[in-house]
Amino acid sequence: MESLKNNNLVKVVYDDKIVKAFLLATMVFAGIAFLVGVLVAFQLSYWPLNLNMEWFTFGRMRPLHTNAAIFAFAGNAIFAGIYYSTQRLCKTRMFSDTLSWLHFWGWQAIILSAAITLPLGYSQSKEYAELEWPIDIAIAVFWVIFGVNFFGTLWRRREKHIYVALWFYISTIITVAMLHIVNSIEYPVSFLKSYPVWSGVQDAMIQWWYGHNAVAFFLTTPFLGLMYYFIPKAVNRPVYSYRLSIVHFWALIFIYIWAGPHHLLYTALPDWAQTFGMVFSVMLWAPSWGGMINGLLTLRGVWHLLRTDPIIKFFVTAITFYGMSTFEGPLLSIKSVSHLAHYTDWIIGHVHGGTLGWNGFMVFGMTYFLIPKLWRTEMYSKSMMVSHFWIGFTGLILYYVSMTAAGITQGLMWRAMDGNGNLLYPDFVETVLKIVPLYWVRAIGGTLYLVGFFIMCYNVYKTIQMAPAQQSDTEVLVAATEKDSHSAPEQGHRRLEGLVPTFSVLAFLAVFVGSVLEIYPALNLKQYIKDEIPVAPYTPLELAGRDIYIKEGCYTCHSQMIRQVADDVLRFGKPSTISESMYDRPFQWGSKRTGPDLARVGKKYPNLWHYKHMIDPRSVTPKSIMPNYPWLADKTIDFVSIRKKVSVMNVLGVPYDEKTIAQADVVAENEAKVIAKDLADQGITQPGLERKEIVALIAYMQALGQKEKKKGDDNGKDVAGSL
Amino acid sequence: MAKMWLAHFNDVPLTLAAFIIFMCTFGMTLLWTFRKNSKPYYDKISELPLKDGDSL
Repeated sequence: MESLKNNNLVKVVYDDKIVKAFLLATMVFAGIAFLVGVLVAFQLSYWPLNLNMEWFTFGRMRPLHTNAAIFAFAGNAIFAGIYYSTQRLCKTRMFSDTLSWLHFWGWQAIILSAAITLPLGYSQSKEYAELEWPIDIAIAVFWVIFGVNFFGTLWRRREKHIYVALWFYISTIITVAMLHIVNSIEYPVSFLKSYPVWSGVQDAMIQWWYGHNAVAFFLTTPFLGLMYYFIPKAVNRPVYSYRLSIVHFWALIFIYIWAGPHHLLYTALPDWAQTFGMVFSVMLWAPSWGGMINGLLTLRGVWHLLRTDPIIKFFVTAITFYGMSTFEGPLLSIKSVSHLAHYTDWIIGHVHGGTLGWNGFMVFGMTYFLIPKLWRTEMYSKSMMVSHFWIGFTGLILYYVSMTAAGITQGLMWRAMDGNGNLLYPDFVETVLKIVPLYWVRAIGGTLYLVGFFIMCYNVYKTIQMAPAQQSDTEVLVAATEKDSHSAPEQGHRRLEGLVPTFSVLAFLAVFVGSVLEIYPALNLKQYIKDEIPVAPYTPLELAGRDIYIKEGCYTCHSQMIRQVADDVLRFGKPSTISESMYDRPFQWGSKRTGPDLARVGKKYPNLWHYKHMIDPRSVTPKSIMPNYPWLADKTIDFVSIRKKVSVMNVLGVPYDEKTIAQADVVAENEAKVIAKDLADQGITQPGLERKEIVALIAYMQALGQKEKKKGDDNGKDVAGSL
Repeated sequence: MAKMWLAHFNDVPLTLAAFIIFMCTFGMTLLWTFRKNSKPYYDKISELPLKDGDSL
């Protein structure tokens, strides 16, 4: 960098290589995320596609899909956009090339770790936070490296004003760090196994505070930053209203953080928290639509570009889907609407309207904008861009409409009653079979979206192929000092916008205060637990079975939370209580019912039923779409590890006696023998059955809903602690 | 203290007060942002993405 003193200018060389690297990583992982998404869509339509392979079943593939889509595809795209726009908005190169590349390779290593561990079943079962503790630590470390590099760049900037896109990036970096660290506080059991310090309702509250705000601060605020930068660039016009963007920013980050409990309406979560979540969700309508209108009206006077420029087609569709999703989200948060929609595919449709429409199309538009600029050439084929748009858009509509229709259909069937108050569709599988045709439509929609993406890959490949062989970073001349930009002293918010630390602290306070007020009362768990109904902890074998339930991803299709609504109670039993899940680490309330709720499935069926159901679900539930789990009858329980698991649970506050902790493996073996003998008596003559995983899983299934004991009944404690 | 605070968490006046404080803060931010004579400044700032520097 050399000063051009005569003109008071300096030459700045932007680091384009890091942007190119993140952009290409985005495309690689988009392919994987979409491909796995299409795979799981077909698995739901046609269960034999689970192939009876443990690492290939829906329960393990689904977390791989969500993690790949959020952290690999969207994550790399965010970083590409942030590295490109931050350098240009600050008129300086990134703070440190070393940190940039450490961030890049560290993030790819994390993705690779996730791609290996999730199919192998190493999962915490907390949605979008499934990764185990060593990877959690790595995420925190590389996120901090990213943050240091970003804030260092702001510190070195040559532009006094911090443009609004950078505000959104600041809030993303600060809030994601807070969310990830708090939600990932866990106690290691072994190298790839841990239990969260939070339990039951605490864990549920913190997980959905995290889960909702992962959507807010990983899939929304950074993308809004990208919107405020790339759309003005693409149409060569400033944002419609900069003042509206200020209001948009502060209102959005303040309100968003409160809305997490809307994922837990009608559950055992205290009513005040549910109402909190609902009210703040509805309030989100205002800032969200303010932002959408601001984005769309940036095209004022150049709407003809929508016909002629494929990049604008992608951007406008993305903003439209942002508007639709942020209208639908608060709508779904209204308790009566949530009653209908929760646990159904309507939520899946809503989520994919946001991710495929808003995030996906924003990334496609940004990629088509950046590729020619970074490689100094033109896109290979404009008609391919248009084809990508229309094929992808058709796929998106098919996906969204089919899932919304499936969700509403199933929700209405679940609640339908006759004149005598009996359920019209008491057989759960009947409500599933009704919507399987819509699962096929969804799978076709997803395939079209993938086909559109492959067209993009070919187009990008040909574009890069015809780019000049000699590539260099972008060099620009910028004003040497910030004083060239402003003559008058700054005041009020203008001054604040120039003070990065103060601005960041205020943004942190906006999300921190909401977080504390939302979470803190739920941490005082005892106030919600009725002493007269003690709850027994899981026995050692049940605990081992619970870990198998988590490993197989059963929570992706089964909830364990009977809501306080009539149709749930009629179908599954009395509403779940906070006490019942007080020792659950992690909680298993679930978010989707492709299969029935399991909160009170214990003792409902004999052991033999569960055995047959795991080996071949259709042998006991004809037409079930659940995969087979034959390996559970082959794989051996790791009895030795149970002692450590029980010990860690005890450290976390679960009341096991010393004898049980010391001989947990022996206790578990004795329990397993009882179940194996029962199965043998029923005709299952498999040698060594008492050491197989299926026995532990049956023990856990039979314990569900059976742990609350009336005062004076010592059975619960005895079950947990007896030898 | 914490117990007292938790015990009053459901109080309507407290919740209402919090809501009013939030709305007032929001309203003041709105008024400040849209105050008179600030448009030229914001118009200038909104041009930032279009002025990334002159390419060499």
